[in-house]
Amino acid sequence: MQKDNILEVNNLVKYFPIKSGIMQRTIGQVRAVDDVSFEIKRGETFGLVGESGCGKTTIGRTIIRLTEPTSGEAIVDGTNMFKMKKGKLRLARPKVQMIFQDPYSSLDPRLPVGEIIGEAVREHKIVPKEQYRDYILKIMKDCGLRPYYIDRYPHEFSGGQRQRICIARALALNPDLIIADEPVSALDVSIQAQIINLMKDLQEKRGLTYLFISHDLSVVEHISNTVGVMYLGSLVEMAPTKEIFRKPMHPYTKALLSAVPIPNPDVKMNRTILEGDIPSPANPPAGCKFHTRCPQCMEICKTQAPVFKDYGNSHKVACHLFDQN
Amino acid sequence: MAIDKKAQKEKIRKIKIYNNKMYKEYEKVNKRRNIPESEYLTQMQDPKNLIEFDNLRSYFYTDVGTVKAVDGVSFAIPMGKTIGVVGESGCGKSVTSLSLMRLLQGPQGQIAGGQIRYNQISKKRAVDIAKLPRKEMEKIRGNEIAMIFQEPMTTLNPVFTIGNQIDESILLHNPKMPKSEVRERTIEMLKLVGIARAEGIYESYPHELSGGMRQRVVIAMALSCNPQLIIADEPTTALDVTIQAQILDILRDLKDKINASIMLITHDLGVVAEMADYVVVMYAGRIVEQGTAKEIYHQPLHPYTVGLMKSRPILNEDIDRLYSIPGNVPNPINLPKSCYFKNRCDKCMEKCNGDYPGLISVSPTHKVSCYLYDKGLVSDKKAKVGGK
Repeated sequence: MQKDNILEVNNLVKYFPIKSGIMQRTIGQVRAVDDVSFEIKRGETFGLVGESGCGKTTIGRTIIRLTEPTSGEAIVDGTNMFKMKKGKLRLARPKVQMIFQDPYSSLDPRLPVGEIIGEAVREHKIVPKEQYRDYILKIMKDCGLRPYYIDRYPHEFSGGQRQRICIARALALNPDLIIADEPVSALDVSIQAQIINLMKDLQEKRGLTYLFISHDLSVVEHISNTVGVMYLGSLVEMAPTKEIFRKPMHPYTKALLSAVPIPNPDVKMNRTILEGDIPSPANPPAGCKFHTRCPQCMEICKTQAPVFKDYGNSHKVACHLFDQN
Repeated sequence: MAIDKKAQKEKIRKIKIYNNKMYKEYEKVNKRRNIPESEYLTQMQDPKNLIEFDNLRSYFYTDVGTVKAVDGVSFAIPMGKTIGVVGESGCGKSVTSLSLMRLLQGPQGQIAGGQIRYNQISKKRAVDIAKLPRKEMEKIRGNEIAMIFQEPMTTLNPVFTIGNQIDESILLHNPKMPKSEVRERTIEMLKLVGIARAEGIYESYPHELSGGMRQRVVIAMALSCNPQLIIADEPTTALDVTIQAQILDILRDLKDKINASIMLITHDLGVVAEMADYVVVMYAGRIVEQGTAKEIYHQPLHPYTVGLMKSRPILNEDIDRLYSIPGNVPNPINLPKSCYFKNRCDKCMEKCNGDYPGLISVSPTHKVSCYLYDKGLVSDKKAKVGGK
C-alpha cells in the first residue's frame, strides 16, 4: 500500500445469488461488482459515475461491509476491512462513514437531532462525557445547523437541512473517509449547490477524503479529483477529472458525456445516442460488456474482454480500440 | 401553555368550518346538470395560441390553511411550439398542468379563479377549461390533451398487458373502431416511439420492461389519440442520462411528425434549453420570468433565474465555488404581501418591502416580475445582470 493512499480497493467482487424453488437453490448470480480496483489519495475526492444498476452503490456499501464481499480486499489506512472480525470491525467503523441518498428515509423519525448525531459519538467514546453536548453543538455549527435544532425531530426539517444532519452525523465520528452515495440527487437545484459547497468547505477544513458516488456528471466534474466510470459492474475508464472530461477515450464515456443536456439553446450537440438499455447483470454479454451498445464495435470485442490498461497520464481504459495502436 | 393550545384548537376549528363551506360551494357548481354553453364558450385572444392561461388560481383548502399553489399565472402555449415550465419542487408547476387537465385532487384542490382558454380546433370553438362540464372535459382529456407522467412505473397498471392498456385509451375515445384496427393502431404507435419488437411488447406486462421502455410506452399511450397538446411532467427525471437523451430525441421528432404542442415541466435547465421555444420560470406559485428560450438563457433578469443558472455546475467549465441561493422556499401558507423571493434575494431593495411586483415587459416576449426592472432602471440594470 502506498503511503498517501487512504483507500485501496483491489479486485473487489460481489455476486448476489439468485435463489429459486422450495429448496431455495442458487440458480444463478447477479454480477453486481466484477473485479474492480482503484485507490484514493488522502484529502482527495474520487467520483464514481455510471447508470443505475451498474454497481456503484454496491461498491460503496461493500467497502464498509453493509453487504459482505464475495472476494477481493479493501484496505483502509493500512488494514483490510474484509478480513476483520466483528469486534475489530466495530472499532474500525468510525474511520469510514457513509452519507445516503435519501435524507427522508435515512434519519430515525423518533430521535431528536442531537441524539441522531450523538448516538455513535457516545457509543464510540469519541469525547469525554462532560464535553459531549458542546462537541455536538460544534459539529452542528460546522454543518450550518442552528444550535436550537438539537432538540427537534427530523420531520421538522426540509430536505436540504436533513442532508446537513446526515453529514453532521457522519462527521461527528472524525472519519478519514466519507462515502457519499448520491448525496444531492434527491434535492432541489438551489439546495444542491448549498450541500456541494458545504462538502467542499468541510473537506478543506478537516482534510476529508470522499468517495463520491453519483450519476450526475456535471456534479462529479465539479467536486472530484479523479473519476471512475462504471458499466455493468466493471470500471471502463479512470483518469484525473480534467483528463477524462476533456479527452474521454472509452466510447461509453463519450456517449455518457454527450448525453448531458447543456443549458444553452444555441448549442446543438452532435449526440451519440446509445441504442437500447443496459443488459442484465445476471447474464452479461461475452467479451467486452459494452459491445452490444457500442457504436465502434469490432469483431474482437464480441469474444475477448479488453484489459484495463494505463495509456499515459494515469488515464486507464478498458477498450480494444486503443489496444492495437 | 393551556391558552396557547386552546387558541390553536380554535384556529383549526375555524379553518375546518371555512373549508367545509368552500367544499360545498364548489360541489354545488360542479354538480349542476345542463350547463348552458354560453357559460364556458369564450374567445381566444390570439387565434394562433392553443392554450391561454389567464390569471389562473388553484388553491388547496387544507386543515392547516389555504395553500395558494398557483396564484395568478398567465401565459400562452402557441400551436406547434414547446413551452418549458421551470421551477423547484413545490413551486406550482405540476399543479398548473393538473389544473389544465382538471385533475386536481378534490375536494381540497380546486380552481379558485381565472380562465384556461383552449382553442378546440376539432369543433372550431374556444372553451374555458376551468368552467367546462365534466362530460365535455372527458372528451378532451386524453384525447386532445394528453399527459406523460414522471414515474413510468406507477403510471402503468401492473396487471394488464401493454397492448391492453393502450387499446383501452383508443377505444374510450373511438368506441366504434373495430378491434383489429385498434390493435393495428396500438402497434403503429409503439413503432412510432422507437420500439423495435412492437408485436412482442404488445403482449408484455409493464414489469418485464426497463424504465426507458416503459416511458416509451407511456408516450405511445399519450400519442394514441392524436393529441393537440402533450403535457410532459418531468418525463425524464426518473431515467439515466443516456436514456434521457433517447426519450428527448423521440419527443422532439414526434412534435414535428404529429404537429402538436408540448408543455414540458421540469427542474432541469439543460433539458429545457434543448427542447423549449419559450420558457416560464415559476417560484412559489407565481411566474417570476417568462420569455423565449434565448432571452432567458442569454439574459436572465430575475435574481431567482440568475441564481438557478449559476447554481448548476456545467460540464467543461471551471468554477471554484458554486453560487448558492441562501435559505429555503417559503411556506406556502400565509405568504407575505411583498415579493416572495425577498428574503433570499441578494439584490433586495427598499421597494421590495412593498406590494408584490407586477410583470414588467422588457421586450415584446420577455416579461419579469421584479422591481429591479421597473421603468427607468431597465436600461442600465440589464447590462449588469444579463451581460456575459
